[in-house]
Amino acid sequence: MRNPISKMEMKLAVRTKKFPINLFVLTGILTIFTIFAFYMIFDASYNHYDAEYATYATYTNITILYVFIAVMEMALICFLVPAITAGTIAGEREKQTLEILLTSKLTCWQIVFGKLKASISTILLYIISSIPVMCIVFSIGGVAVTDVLQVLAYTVVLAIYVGSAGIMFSTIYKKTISASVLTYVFLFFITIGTFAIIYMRIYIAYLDGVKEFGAWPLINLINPITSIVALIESQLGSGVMFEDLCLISEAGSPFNELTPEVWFWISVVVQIVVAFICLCVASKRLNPIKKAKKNK
Amino acid sequence: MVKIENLRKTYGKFTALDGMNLNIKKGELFGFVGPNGAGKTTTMRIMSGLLSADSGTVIVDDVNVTESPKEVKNKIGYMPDFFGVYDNLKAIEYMEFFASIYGLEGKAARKLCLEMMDLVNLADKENFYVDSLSRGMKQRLCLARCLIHSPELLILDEPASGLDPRARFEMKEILRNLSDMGKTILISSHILPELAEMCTNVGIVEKGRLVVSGTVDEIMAQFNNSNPLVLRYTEGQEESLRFLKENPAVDNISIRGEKVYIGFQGTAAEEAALLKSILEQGAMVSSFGREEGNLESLFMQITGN
Repeated sequence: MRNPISKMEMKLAVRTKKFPINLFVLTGILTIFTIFAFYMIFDASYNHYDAEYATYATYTNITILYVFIAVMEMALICFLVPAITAGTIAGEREKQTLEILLTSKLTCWQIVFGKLKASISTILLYIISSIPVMCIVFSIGGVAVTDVLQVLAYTVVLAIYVGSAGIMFSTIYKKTISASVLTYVFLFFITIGTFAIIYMRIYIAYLDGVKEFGAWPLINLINPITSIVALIESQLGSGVMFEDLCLISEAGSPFNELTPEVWFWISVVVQIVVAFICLCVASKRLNPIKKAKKNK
Repeated sequence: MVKIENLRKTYGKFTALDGMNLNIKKGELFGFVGPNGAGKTTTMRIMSGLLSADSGTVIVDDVNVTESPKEVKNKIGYMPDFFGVYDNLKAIEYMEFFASIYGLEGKAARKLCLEMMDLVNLADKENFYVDSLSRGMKQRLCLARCLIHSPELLILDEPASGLDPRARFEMKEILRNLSDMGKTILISSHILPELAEMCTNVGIVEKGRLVVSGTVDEIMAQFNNSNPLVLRYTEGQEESLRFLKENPAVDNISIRGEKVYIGFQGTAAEEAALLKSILEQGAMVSSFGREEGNLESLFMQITGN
């Protein structure tokens, strides 16, 4: 059965003038940065060095462009997802429509899942609209279509991951603004915070004269930056950046044998599990009866 | 249809419900009246599964609300005291959205939605955006939404609040029609006269308890005895009042214009004896009797104001 919430939300999302404008602006930003990067990587190198150098493109330059576009795409999605999802439940509260939904036949899980589905569908449109921009990497060669599709597929997983957290905060906080702020804080934690924790742990370990510090680098499995780096490096057959970033070599056995590909797939599973937990918490928070029992 | 027993609910130190008991029979249009903060909305929210009680039971059509909330949701239509709108949604789309929640899609859903909108006199507003409708129309649309799954019990929290007199009248007519169709309706208000006109039964709530319930006539008869006696003297008022002040059965005396109000608790025979003693003192009385109770004064009296 189709989820009535997602059906209605999708209809409402695309009906406003705001939607095509946002789509235009976000794709525009990605396009401008991509063209600028393309110029900087290829054309600027031609002017800077000599004409002979620019008659062929180096594989490294293509990978730099590819990584740049993938990271830009991810950054835009990370910026967009909290803005869309954090207001889903809190917005219903503000519009005073949540109680009406809760007294209907819908279960809390259906409401939460419907909201996520609608948000991800909207984000999917942004992702699809960015495909032509991403295709610029095919103009020179060196990157396969499946590589780009894998990055886009991971971007959807990332949207689900951050979106689920956004919905969870939306059920915890009554105001959209509070839920948005907390979702951005969550995003900051999973992207920057995990690195900070690991580097602090390394620092303490070195002070103690310990060279291996066990499973601590595995915290980065929740970090989407390490996931995208692992994905791209597994596609390009490299692993240097992944090693530097994830500090796997310092984790000690058996973790230091994780390849970028294995890391990527484990991180996807971990992030989906975290997303599922967030949705379960959101569903539980939404249930007025259980909440009241807990408060007693 | 509805049986509430010893329902209790507290919010921190504030007791919202303090042993609420309520019985509503099938087909009744029950008016739930009480001042703001008396516990009406809390009771309705517990009945609708939006809130859990600290203790007590709520049975709707033989189903326990706490034990089977999903089953109860199919039996009730709840209309809160506010109307939340989705921007950019047409009236018919709003209805179809709620129809789809109950598994109705396509032409069958549209037909049912139009029927419900017709029932609340909104058939010509199907293509209007919800946020462009007047408050009265929104309330009626919300009522139509409650009816989409054909619930046996309608729980309406102050449906007429904020409506102009015409919209109130229209709402009353619609509720009467629904009652005639056999729906059990629980409707709350803090204005007793508003409900008295259309409800078959009324329950008055104060401080989380049901103080009195029954038909309006039954409640009036029960409380009219405590209304003051009203006298109009033509001669000997001062002497008579001095005499009455010494009478232990008289609570208080007040004079408003030509009328003298005497607080007196007693049967009809005791009233007659009092009148006889006044006349024996030499006063001349042109009128004597209990003040006619009106719903407003009755409500004020019951709710302790």
